[in-house]
Amino acid sequence: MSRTRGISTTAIIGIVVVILIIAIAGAYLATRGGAPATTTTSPSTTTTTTSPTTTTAPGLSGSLTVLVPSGDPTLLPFIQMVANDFMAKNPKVSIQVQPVPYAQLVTTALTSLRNQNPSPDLIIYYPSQASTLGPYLLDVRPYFTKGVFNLSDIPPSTLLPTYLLDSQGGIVKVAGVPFQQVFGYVLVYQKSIFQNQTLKSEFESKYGFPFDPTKFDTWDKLITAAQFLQSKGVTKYALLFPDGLTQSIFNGYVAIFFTYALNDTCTGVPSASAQGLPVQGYWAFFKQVNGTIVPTINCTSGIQALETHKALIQFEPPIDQQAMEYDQLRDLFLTGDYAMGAAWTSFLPIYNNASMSKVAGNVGIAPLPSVATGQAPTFIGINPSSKDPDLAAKFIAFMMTPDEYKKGAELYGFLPATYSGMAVAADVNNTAWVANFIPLLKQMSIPDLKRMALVNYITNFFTDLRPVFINTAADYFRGKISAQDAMNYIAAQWVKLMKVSS
Amino acid sequence: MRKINKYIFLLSIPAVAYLFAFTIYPIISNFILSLYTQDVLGKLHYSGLSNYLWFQKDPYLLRITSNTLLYMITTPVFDIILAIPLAVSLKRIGSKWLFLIMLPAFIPPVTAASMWYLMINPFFGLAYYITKHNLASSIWTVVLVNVWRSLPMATLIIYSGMASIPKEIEAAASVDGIRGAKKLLMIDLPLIVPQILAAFVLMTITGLFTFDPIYIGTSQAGPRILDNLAYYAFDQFYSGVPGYAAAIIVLMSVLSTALSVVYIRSLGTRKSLKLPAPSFIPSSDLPLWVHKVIMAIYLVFFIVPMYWVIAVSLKTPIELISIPPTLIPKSISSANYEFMLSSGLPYLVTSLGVATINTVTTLVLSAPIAYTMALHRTG
Repeated sequence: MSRTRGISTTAIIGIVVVILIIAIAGAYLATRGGAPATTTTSPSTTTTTTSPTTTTAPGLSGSLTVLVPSGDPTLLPFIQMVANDFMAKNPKVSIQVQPVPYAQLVTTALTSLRNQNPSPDLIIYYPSQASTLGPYLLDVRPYFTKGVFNLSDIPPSTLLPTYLLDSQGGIVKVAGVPFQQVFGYVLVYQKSIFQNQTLKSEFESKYGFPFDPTKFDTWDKLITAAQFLQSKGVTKYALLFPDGLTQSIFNGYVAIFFTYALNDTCTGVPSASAQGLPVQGYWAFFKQVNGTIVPTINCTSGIQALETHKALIQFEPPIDQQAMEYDQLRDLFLTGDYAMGAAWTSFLPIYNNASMSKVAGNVGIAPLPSVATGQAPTFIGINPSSKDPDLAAKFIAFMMTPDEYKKGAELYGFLPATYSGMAVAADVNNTAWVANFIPLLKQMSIPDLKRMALVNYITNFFTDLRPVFINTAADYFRGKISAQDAMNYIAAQWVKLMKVSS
Repeated sequence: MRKINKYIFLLSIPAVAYLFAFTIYPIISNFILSLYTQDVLGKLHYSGLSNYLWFQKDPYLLRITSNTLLYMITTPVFDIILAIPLAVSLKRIGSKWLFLIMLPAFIPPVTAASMWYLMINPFFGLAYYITKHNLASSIWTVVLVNVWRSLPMATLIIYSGMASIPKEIEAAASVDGIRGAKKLLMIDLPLIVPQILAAFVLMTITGLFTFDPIYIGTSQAGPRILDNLAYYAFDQFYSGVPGYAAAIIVLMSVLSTALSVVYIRSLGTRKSLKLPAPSFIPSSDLPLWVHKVIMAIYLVFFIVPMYWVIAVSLKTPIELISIPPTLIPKSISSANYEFMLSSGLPYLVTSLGVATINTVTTLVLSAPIAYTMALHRTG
């Protein structure tokens, strides 16, 4: 008789028992109301909350599904809270919040949009996903015209990524509405280190400027402070700065490049003036010369920016040991091993969560030097195949009311995208820090839509041009190539590979 | 010419319809898409062979094609080289260890990749104690994850071949004094050539369709460094370049079709192979303890990543971010499991549902056509 028989009866019974135990435990926990989320990156449930408590605006009916990327600790709870409140006010409406891991958002949304599925009705997305999803989302301009959304309450620079522009800079579509403001990169730091009087007096007598991250207004000051902290061994590493090889090295560079480009006529980026500070973006990487799109990153400012970027990453583990992508920027600062770090403001609730952070309650926040801090708002778009786009628009409008924003700020530290919402959030303890960033936001302007449209017409910008930049910049960080050669190589490759859509 | 029974013909209709709807139609549709390009407003425009002509200019295609070939060749080669000694030890010790060995084969590819990348994280992973180099950035890590997942299946195929060698042949070899390594070279391996070939081709297909370790490893290696054609097509498609993605898929389809032909032919192989057995090759069985040591080494390779992921799942959030990482959780937390069974329950239910539907659909569609093919000796 063979020794390798099929699965025995005992094994089958065992498997069935295990499945039953899982099902019973799951049912028990579900009825108990669910266990608290312990990590911020885990996907959350697909829930439909019924049982409205108050009825103030009868008339609306229907159902909506909202696709929400998980990962941001404030976003999902805020959307669920708004959904509950909306259903409470409109008992005939049911809303299902459907979380999806950040990395799968585009694939999930695009699959539905391309196949003209009516669900999800609403899709939440980030600026880097706007150019991919925008063409498939509903043009929301009619809702601005009808007054469903209040255009004057939204900072123009925040709305910009939702524009689909023609080659002359004309707006052909607005593919969504910003509802959550995220500033980035900002400088976070351990307050206790900078409150240490011994360190403070030694630093200030040696370098002659304040030992205060909110006063580091140039890159040199930040680097000097990091060198000082590293030499004192206060923490294992002085500064955490993005050099991740998927995206963050690129975004980190954009922020630095911008500060130099503003003062470099070669780039053609208008300098800060009475009209305001030009909004950051990839658009600054290109300009048009005699009808041809050419890169600007091999201008002097591009090379200076790369050198500064390398100086900023010298205080963390080398790029070949650990490249600092979004996850690492979020998670490593929690360890308490870093005195300062570049971060998105959406990380703040995680940093201040005592159950998972060693720096909780000790986190200070300041803009990056030389107005390098930009914004990466979160948008909500409507599926054009939705069964009820008007209901979806009303849900968005409800979400952006000051009352909902105030609740979101108080309960979750959620940061609104509108002027009125930010004003409300500035009065809430959790989000009071935003008051320091409102002037920066008001200062941001959109100088030239035609130039901003250039990058959108390079159809392989993300698939071909960005990888050239990332790999070459990484080689410079590894010491394999000079900054000048790196930028010249990148510019030459970009010219060679660029596919420009008509 | 033999007449086809109408009843048998009807039996094959579901599978043939499925083939047309889910294989032939997508192939044609994909080819048509490869002749288009998408503009910034999402509209498709006919562009002839421009996507294929871009192959010449594409700066990454050479690297990506060579990566594809590397995964495609190294995965089966390592699998076969590693599976043979394991199968020999299994045969000597007994198949009771097969259950543990097979565990990685039942783990979804993305989970397997996540396990490995958790373990080789230079700060929070086991790798902290081994190397300061970031193993996640190496192309060989992708091969390692592939081999970890596919080796059990290769072992099972080869072991089943060895187990089916007739007892008479074993006895005759023993009488002739042919044992140990000499027997392996002169008797066992030549007799299991079809199984080795089948394992090789199956693992080649696994290597060709590598995706998840690339998806997870790219943030540490850099864009396009680990990519193969499958991942590259995916990335292009979801970055708003569907026409070029379709052209890459056409290229891949040519490769995989060629492989399918080889696979089907290898299944029909009944030839044996004569291997040289030089005189220095020992003709004695290795002691049992040597087989046990070999088995132990393999089990460590299979089980350590699984142990690590379980340990991580039981740690508290604060312990998770401790550097150096703790090898054994200091305090056990069930919070992640509670979360999984409450908030994650819909995903569990969906997974079980999808698996059931897949199995039932496959059986319903394939059983009638398999019966037809067997009856008519076709295919």
